[in-house]
Amino acid sequence: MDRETREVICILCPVGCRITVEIEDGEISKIENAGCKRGRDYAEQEIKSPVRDFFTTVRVKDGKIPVVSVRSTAPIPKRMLMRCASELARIVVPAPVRIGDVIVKNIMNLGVDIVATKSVEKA
Amino acid sequence: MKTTVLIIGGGIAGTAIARELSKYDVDVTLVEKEKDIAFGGPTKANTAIIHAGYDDKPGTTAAKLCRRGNAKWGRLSSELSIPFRRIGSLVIAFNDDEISVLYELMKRGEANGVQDLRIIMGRELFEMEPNLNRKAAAGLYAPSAGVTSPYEAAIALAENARMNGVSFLLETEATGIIIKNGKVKAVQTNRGTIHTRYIINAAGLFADEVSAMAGIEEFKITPRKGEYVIYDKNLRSLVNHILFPIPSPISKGITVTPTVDGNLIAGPTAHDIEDKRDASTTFEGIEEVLRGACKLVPCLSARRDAIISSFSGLRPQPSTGDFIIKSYEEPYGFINVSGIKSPGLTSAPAIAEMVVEILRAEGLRLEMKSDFKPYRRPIEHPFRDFNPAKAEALIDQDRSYGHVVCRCEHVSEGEILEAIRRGATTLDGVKYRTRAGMGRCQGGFCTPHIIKILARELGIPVEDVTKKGGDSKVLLYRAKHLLIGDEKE
Amino acid sequence: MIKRKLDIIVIGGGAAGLAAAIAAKESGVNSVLVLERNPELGGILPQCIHTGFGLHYFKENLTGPEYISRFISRVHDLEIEYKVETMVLELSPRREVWAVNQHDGLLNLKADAIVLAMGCRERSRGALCIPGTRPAGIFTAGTAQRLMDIEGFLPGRKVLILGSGDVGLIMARRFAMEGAEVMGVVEVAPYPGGLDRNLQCLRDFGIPLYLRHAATFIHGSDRVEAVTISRLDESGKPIAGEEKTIECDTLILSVGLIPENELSKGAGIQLDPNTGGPVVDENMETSIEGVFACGNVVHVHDLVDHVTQSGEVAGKNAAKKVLGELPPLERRIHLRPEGNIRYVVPQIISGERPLTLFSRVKKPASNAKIIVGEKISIHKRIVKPPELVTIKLTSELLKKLNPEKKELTVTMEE
Repeated sequence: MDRETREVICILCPVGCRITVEIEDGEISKIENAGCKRGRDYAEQEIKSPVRDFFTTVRVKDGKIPVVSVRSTAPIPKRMLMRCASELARIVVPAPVRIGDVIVKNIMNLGVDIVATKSVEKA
Repeated sequence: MKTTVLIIGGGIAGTAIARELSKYDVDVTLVEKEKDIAFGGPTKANTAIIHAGYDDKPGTTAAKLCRRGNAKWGRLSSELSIPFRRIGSLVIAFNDDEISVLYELMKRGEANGVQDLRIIMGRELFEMEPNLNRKAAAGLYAPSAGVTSPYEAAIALAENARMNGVSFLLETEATGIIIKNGKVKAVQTNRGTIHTRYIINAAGLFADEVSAMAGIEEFKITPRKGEYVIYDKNLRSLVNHILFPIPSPISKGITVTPTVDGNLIAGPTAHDIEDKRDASTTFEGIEEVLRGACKLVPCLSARRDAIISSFSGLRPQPSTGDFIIKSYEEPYGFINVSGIKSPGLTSAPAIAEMVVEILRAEGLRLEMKSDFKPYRRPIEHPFRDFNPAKAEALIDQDRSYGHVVCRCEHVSEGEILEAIRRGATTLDGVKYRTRAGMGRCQGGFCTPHIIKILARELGIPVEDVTKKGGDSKVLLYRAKHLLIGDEKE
Repeated sequence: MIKRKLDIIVIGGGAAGLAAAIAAKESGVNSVLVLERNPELGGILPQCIHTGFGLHYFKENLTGPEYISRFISRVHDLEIEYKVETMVLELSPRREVWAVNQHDGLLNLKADAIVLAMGCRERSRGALCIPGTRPAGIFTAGTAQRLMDIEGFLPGRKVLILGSGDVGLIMARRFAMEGAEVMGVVEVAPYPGGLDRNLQCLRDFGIPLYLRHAATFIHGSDRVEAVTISRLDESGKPIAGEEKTIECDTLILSVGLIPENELSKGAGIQLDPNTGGPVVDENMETSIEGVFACGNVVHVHDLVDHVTQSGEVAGKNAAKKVLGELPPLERRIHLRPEGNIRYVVPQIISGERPLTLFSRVKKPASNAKIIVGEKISIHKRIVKPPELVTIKLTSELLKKLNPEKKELTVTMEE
């Protein structure tokens, strides 16, 4: 039997509970030291399928500034962070860019869009 | 390439000699291995004091030139618009033994021809320096001592020399000296051979190595490290004079001094090291500086938060103990201006005159130019001591003076552009000419702006802008470079 | 030279300044002018491209640019006048401002009320006296962030970060996401300096965190080549033999923020040595009448939401001042921090109106009681230095105060 204990630091509130999660054969067997139900759920998700907010910059052609900040419309799987970053690194969008503009639709088939978080005027 | 007098080294000695020679009808070239004037070492990092002249033993070259040099700084600074203030110095004694040293120093000073030296005790001392350690017993007051900005001085000297016809070759390092029939013929450099009749070796820390290229190995230069800390301008009113402790056998000790720009500086330590390129600061060195500073001005111990920077400089300490300024029978045409340790900055204008005399004695005909231009216009700093009328006039002429780029020292884009026009090609070059980046945030705000201005004005990619030449690039890549590799950008 | 008289001048167009300007205009003051030294409004927020902003204020998880764009839009809607790339040179105690920009030239401005919203600056390598050489490749975290996320540069490829404050942690992740190798984050304290949620930045990318370590030598003559870090003993001194030299081409400093009060000092405004910012009363008015302060210039916040709120208080009260509707405080009770309490803002309250105090502690503590005066006790489950502690003084609690007292201590019992 494969057994493992992992620590998850809860980020939901300033208390920052150090939650311990025991995993047996890939299944969660025990969650301890969570201060509340939300923390428990968070720890469970962190082990099963952690997701993260995704944000980076995308290059802009002929803009007042050479990059525009972007984000995903919803969190994406943690393991996809760098792959999405590399995908976006190849893109150059023409100015002007408006805040909220969709830069990439349904990135890497994750079901989320990449949108601009600021406006960049033409130079 | 061909010249008559070749000066090796663009520090304070080399530039002072260049400027002095530019008064005469003679072909002069100065080579400097670094990217800019005063980048080399001792000139960019020292205490910036114009000494009164009581430290050196009577009869030494240093003693003679220090007093002479001191007397020349007033005129030099006004002709070339070099910041300089004669604020006077105090050597502080804490007990009777030390007081007797003050009397010795006074006697030595008088023998050197220093005037107006005076020993001050009691209330007068604390009226002059209210924040001086209350345990201080007496002070040797030298009203003729002052403070300047050594790199600005070297830059000003170089600018004026260039204006008067001296050629400057930067990033040009002397690698060999060609001698034929006992006479200097040429200097080999990384950029080719320069034929010359006279060589002036003002190579600072490397003067012994250059001298050896000419076959003269009569001295060694040891780098003597001095570490410093700089305090915020908020503390400017804490100290009025240059404060020295009693000197040690090897150093004038750790001073606390108002700088000409309104900061306070404390230092230097004095430790002989081996590596002539090791201008690093050390934990122990900074602690030593702070101990020394707090001994003179105890309230500094609570003001560590007001430190804005620390740095170290290397003084070229000659094995002879004195400046080595002389010519040789063989090779004829080679003149050493070596071992220019403290008080080299003070002495520089006198050293330059001495070199002119040596060249004359060596048979070089030197006739005064009729069109020598002794004055150099300063870079205007309208916001440094904020003067609305002056600022307005400048902005009316050139709008770029209205764009303040450095928030701490209030340096405008106009000043930066002027610095670039005058030869700045790096962040440090701009900093030394304008003070942009020398304030309390140490370039945090202005660096991105200045990099862009430099790239634009020099017509180079932003990634090629350096801090101080060589491999000191500031921004290595464009965004996404590491994610896409060299694929395409 | 342009000479003008305004109702309110706001110095600084970041989160605090914009909130103040909006609040002032909404309160019915006509001529409000915002002066900003950057080329764009927003202060630091346009470069904070990560999420986590607005969770309290908007109940939404926004990025920095998104958060501040809402305020910038409001500034435009309300037709609030602002000047960018404008540097304020001087502030006089008589509310006279000297400023300059390329377009207008010199500006000599006077106002009935001034709002200070200059934010804070980063502590530099020089201030820390980190030993070593002086190569290129050393940046404060905020400068690196601006270079990366506004100017579009990547300063280097092998990065070491000093300081585990929020900016340091966020920049660790940001460098990693740009494909740089982050060699570690070095922290002098035995605990991280940033919010817990930002520690995720390190764990997600396997970036080592060196607690109780300091940088003890910077190597490299032209460009940073390596940094030596040393383990510290209990007293904070490097332990001999416990050094590690980490190869890198870039050193990022996230070693503290200092409220930017050079203008305040010039005007003679009283500063609190504990915060580094002006002493303010509950109206956010400083020791000079008609000069208000808000945001990070008062004390360094950790959430922009609180910065915005303090801007609103300052802006509203500056407006009242201009309109003649701000009576002096009935009483001026000075709050004095003691024990584990490092500071309390505002430093002066009337005790008449409910308000929230902001405080920072010196050391972490759990199950602590914050005691205001003698009778007010507020329980806190956990307090940590990186996180501002809010102390809500309700009308109920304020009734417990002794109305005679001119000074109250704020302290903590564990």
